[in-house]
Amino acid sequence: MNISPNILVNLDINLAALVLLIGVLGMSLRVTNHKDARGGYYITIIVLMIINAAITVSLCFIEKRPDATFEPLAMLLNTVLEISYTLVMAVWLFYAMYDLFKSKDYIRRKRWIVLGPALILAAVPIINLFVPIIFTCDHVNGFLELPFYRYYNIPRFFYIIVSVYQTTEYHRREKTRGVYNIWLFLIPLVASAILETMTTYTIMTLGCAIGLTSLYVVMINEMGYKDFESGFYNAYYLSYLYNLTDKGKYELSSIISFSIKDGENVEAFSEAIKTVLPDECDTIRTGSGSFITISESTDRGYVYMLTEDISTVAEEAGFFVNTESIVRGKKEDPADFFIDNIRFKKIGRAV
Amino acid sequence: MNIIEITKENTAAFADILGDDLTVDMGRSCFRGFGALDELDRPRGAIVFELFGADQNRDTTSRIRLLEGESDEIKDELKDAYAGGVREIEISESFYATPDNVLAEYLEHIGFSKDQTESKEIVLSLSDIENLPIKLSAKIPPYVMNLSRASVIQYRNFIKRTILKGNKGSVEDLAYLPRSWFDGDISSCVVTDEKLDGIFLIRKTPSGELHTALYVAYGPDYIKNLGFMLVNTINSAILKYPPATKVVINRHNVAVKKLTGKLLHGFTGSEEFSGKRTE
Repeated sequence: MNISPNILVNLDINLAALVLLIGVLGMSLRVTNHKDARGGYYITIIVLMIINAAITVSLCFIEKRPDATFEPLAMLLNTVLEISYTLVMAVWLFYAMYDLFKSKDYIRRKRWIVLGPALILAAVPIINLFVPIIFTCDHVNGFLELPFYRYYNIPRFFYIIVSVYQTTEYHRREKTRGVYNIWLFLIPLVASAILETMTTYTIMTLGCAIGLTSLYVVMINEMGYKDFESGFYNAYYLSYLYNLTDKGKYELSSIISFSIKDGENVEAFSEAIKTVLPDECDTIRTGSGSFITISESTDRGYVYMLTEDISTVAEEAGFFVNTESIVRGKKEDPADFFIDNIRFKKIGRAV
Repeated sequence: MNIIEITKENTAAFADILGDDLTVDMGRSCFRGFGALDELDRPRGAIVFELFGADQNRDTTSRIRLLEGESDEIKDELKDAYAGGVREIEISESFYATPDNVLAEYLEHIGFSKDQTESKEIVLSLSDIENLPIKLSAKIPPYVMNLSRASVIQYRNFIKRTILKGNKGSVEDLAYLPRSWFDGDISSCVVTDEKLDGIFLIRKTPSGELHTALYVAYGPDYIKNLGFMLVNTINSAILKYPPATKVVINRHNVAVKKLTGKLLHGFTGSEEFSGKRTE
């Protein structure tokens, strides 16, 4: 069978995407926490993109064959491809929502607002199987977009626009700093989509694969700071915070240290303590049974409340815990406070 | 005249001068006071002040809430005791707000400025609120509920969170007050992922007034949730208290001022005298 150079290029691009996606899927399945909804959305997107890449590779051999034998199969595969891309966009929005708000309840309340349009869009290619509305696929022209296709394609990108809007709006309101992870996926996706429209090559699959790999790298990077037994940060996170402090981007202001006896069940203790820790503070495991909870707040009332709650909940869970706390003074420099109390572990003065 | 510090142990002795609300407030960490006793240990005067910023790394300021004395000599002794407190606590600025012109003149005499201003507090009745253009029949989702249905740990976790975000409403010592300080039957909260995401705290004072304390929500739907909590609290208050019950709204920041400006057309704060003094 003669394969045209154009199709060969598409084959190479999508095989590369497929290999990359399968590799990322394998690696991320090993490290993703099954309790983490974000991980679940991420895996779902990879699986959908693997389906897309596999279909696109198959179509290289099936479309534009000299006879009509595989026309129905080509139509079916293209239908599945279109549905899958729509679902990728919807699941991407769920991913971005969870990455931002960390709230299963919020996503549950909005699920039909997100899924509803996706299901309607997904129904269109199915209808197209019986009544050509958006595309046809035959052995002469291959995949052929009908005029209505552009009106079908554009709404899918609203999911991307919404994910960008809600992320920028959230960070503007919360006045947070830093690079937004969503760009790691969206930039390769949008760039590849633009390239695909300008050329005849199906590059979007590879663009998505690159984006998903970038998100995987971020995930691995985040895990580099994680203590798996307790679920808190490990001591490397303190180096990261110190670098931020040095650049003036972080002001350590309060430290609560607490410890349990050696040999006690760290996992059970950590699960108990997590019920009283706010999301806005960072907790780091500094030793086998010792931890610190730190924040940028100088409010002594907050430190008082949290110290009390840690003691109470530890006692209720059957652990004897030593707690001490310290708050940066008015005239104390944040970097000096960090060095004096963290790097040299001089935590000890009560508030 | 014997000037003593008013503490939890001796507050009751000054109850007639302080009134019901301030007598209870004297048990709070941000309230301080001095009282004047005559040779028979009868109370003849008192000064009470509320501290702001003492718990954080910023300048501590003080609002004089009460200064009463049977004579100017007693007031002078109380103001000297206050000056001692200012030095001890390192208060950077004192201020006051009062409808009493006599008190305002005395404070002006001892170095405070004096201006005639509109009070930050708006006082209205529950029946006034019922007649506001708020859709009280709006359907409240099940995750918005009265505070009494939330657990103590949920409440405390939210208070820690809101303090970390720098929101204490009009309650400086929010971290030290128990949940029972607020009326759990009319205060509202939003529950998301088994945690509180928003709260509207109302305190019923010993004198029977309802005071707004904290009105805040977080998360992506915070604006909608603020609205739901407002409706829920108003409906709960209407059910629980008589229509004549006074509601005091403290417009302590720009956000509250904007909201009251929108909702409370025609209602303004009363005329009062206010001033400050750098210490």
